[in-house]
Amino acid sequence: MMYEKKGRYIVEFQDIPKARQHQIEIDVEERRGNYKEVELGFDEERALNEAKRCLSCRRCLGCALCWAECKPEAIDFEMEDEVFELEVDDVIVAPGVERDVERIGRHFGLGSHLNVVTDLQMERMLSDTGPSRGLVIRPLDGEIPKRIAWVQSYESASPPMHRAALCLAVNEAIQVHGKIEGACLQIFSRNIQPFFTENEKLVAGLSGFRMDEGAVESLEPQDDGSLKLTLAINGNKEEKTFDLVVLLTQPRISKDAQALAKSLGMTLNYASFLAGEDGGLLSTEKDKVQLTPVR
Amino acid sequence: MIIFGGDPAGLAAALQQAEAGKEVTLVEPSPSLGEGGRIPQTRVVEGGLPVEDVNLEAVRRHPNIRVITNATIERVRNSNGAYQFRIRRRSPRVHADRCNDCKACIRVCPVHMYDDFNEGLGFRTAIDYFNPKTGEYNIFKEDMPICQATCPANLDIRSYVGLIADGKYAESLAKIRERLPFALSIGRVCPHPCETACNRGLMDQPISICTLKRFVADWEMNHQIPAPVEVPDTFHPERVAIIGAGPAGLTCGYFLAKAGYRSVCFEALPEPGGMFRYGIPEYRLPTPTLMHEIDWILSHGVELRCNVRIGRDIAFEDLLREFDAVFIGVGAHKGMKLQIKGEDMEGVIDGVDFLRDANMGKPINAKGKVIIIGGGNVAMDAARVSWREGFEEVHILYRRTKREMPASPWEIEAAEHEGIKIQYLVAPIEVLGENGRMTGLKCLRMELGEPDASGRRRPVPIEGSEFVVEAETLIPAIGQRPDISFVPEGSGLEITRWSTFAVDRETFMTNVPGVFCAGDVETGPDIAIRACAGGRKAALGIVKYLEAKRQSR
Repeated sequence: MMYEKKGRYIVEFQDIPKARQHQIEIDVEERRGNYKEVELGFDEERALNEAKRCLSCRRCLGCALCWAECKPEAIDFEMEDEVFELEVDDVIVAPGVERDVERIGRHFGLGSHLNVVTDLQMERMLSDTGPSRGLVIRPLDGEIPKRIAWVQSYESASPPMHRAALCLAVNEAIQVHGKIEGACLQIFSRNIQPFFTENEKLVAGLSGFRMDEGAVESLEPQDDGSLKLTLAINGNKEEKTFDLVVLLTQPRISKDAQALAKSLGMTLNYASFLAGEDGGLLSTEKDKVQLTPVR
Repeated sequence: MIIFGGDPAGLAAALQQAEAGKEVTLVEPSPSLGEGGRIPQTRVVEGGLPVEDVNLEAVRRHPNIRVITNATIERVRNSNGAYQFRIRRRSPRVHADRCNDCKACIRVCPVHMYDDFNEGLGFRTAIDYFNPKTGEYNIFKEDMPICQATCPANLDIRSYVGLIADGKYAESLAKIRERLPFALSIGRVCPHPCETACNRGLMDQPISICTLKRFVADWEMNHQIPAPVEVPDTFHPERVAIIGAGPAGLTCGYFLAKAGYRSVCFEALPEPGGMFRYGIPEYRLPTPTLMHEIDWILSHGVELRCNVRIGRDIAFEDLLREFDAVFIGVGAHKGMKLQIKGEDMEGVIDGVDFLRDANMGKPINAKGKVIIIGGGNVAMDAARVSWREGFEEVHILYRRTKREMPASPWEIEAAEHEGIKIQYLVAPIEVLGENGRMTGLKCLRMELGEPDASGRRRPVPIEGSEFVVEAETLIPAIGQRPDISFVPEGSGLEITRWSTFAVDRETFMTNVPGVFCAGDVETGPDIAIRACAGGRKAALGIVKYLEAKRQSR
């Protein structure tokens, strides 16, 4: 049996046991006043059933189909890693911004509805090197979306992070406006006033999209793949339907950058990469280490 | 100069520095430079070209720029004001100079995975060209499956689980013991990060890897099958001193014996096992089970001397003189203080000390109500032990919410199941008492404020929300530090600001030649299997060190 889950196809083979096996445990009443072992592990039957669930996964399987197909014989499974020993006087770290998607609430439907994407996924879609070569499409059916909403997906964020998320959304909306004629584009977010104050000119000349103080209460998929949002806008409840929902997410620096910073003996976070006025390299507590600002 | 990150910001910096005449090495972890099309997030760009396009070709052709893609940093050292890096470029397994970008390989590749280059939008194949602008083909082959890569000891999980499925239990256990001697113990207590990473979790629920490991170990013990002891016929003359008979020390001794080196393990407490014995409660890891495993490890040629505290019974310097190498694995057994008034009163006992007393069978004055402070696994253990000892009421106070709690979810669930009450958003401010004996705890309610630098929301006190809880016992369990007072001043050992020893990541040797270190005293408080992993790597480091020493003689 084959079915779809979280945007992937999953095959259920009948010979693979399905449910995860649970340990045998003693009752709570049996535990008070003594130190009897609580969990008793698996019996042989449970262990065998559980072990058979393992999918034995890895990425390249070494099937060599590509190798057989490659006419110029460019593929070389035996090619070795290269190791470089470098001694340098100066280090520059570029931020490599990621998004905190693990903590996005389930009700935003990321992963369960294909037409809900993150702001970084939208950025990839807008890029010439992206999955659709710069075309903005609905992941579900490849249709061009006519109604797109950007909505805040985090409870609250520190001001610079919130500002960065809003900036990205506005820049994306401007881009989409240039790509899809007559599209209805709306940004809903909390605490929007400081952003307006900072970008007075933008607000005055706002064209092609709307920005409103608002928060998503629920999201409901429709038969045609569009998404009905229940929004709290300026204290009123409103229902609106969109073809594509883009989640504003909190920026953070990449795990690689964090690990690197740790090995250099310092801690870095997103705020470390926020530029001064001139936009030049940023200095750090280590005088040999500099940062390139987030742009 | 070295630049990390091949995104537009890094590329621009590389070009700028190269133009200024600097020799630049540009290092990028992904297989391809310039995930083009970054949209600015610090300013609004109206009209024009908000998408940043960097001249990739200029970067690649610049004589002063060397590009290393697919890179992982293996080592960083700082000496004499210069940084030394060891960088590994993982093999792409495709010769770029021969590839003609025909995409035939992509058409036939049967492995489809989330397209990580495009933030998981759509799929890509295991062989892929990532950025179409660079056309840098790469075969994505993990050195290890995700479970193995996530396991601190890199156990070959796929193999030993597969062997269980085939009914080959002894072979499965042998596979585990190639990298870990503590299958019985770790199979009971590990918080199993491998299961969190398991790909089957995307489909339904992850494989129960930890309990499977326990199953094969239990199977051998319960069927009274003697565990194989495989050591070389002759041992080398050198001897190694191991300080601390915990997960790290005993693992180190086990792998030293397998390599033909005898060791003497000094333990300050009356019995071996370290945190396995004195930190983890009996109901999670029974002592007879643990001792069954430890006896087997010792039988490989590890001599155990208990009730010997280095620095008190034997001087640290004497060990350095008498042994050819020294391994430090003393763990982190010193509880952190709450830093509040009245903390030294009778009735206040630190979580680690409390668990140790309970595990030693010392009588515990379990009357009335006990309050445990903290949200980690030590707090959960202390609470569940208190409940077993017979306290009438057991309360855990934690200053954030369940979401932020670092304890394993199943431990929290088990504690709640046993009737332990957890109160969130509460912090202690003063221990109250009479005649030096605690009678209650003054607390403050908290609320979650703005996120701090780590992204976790910071608890902020609610003004005027003080309240008093009457209780006879208070167990703070808010973290541990290593106690490294056994090392005399002037030993020259490099100590970090977390009172841990600094080691070389590869050999686990400290800055003092011949002195090695792993486990909590090197990492800070961490899970047992990471200590075991460190003990094993240190043993390999010691073997290399002793061999080199012998050859130079």
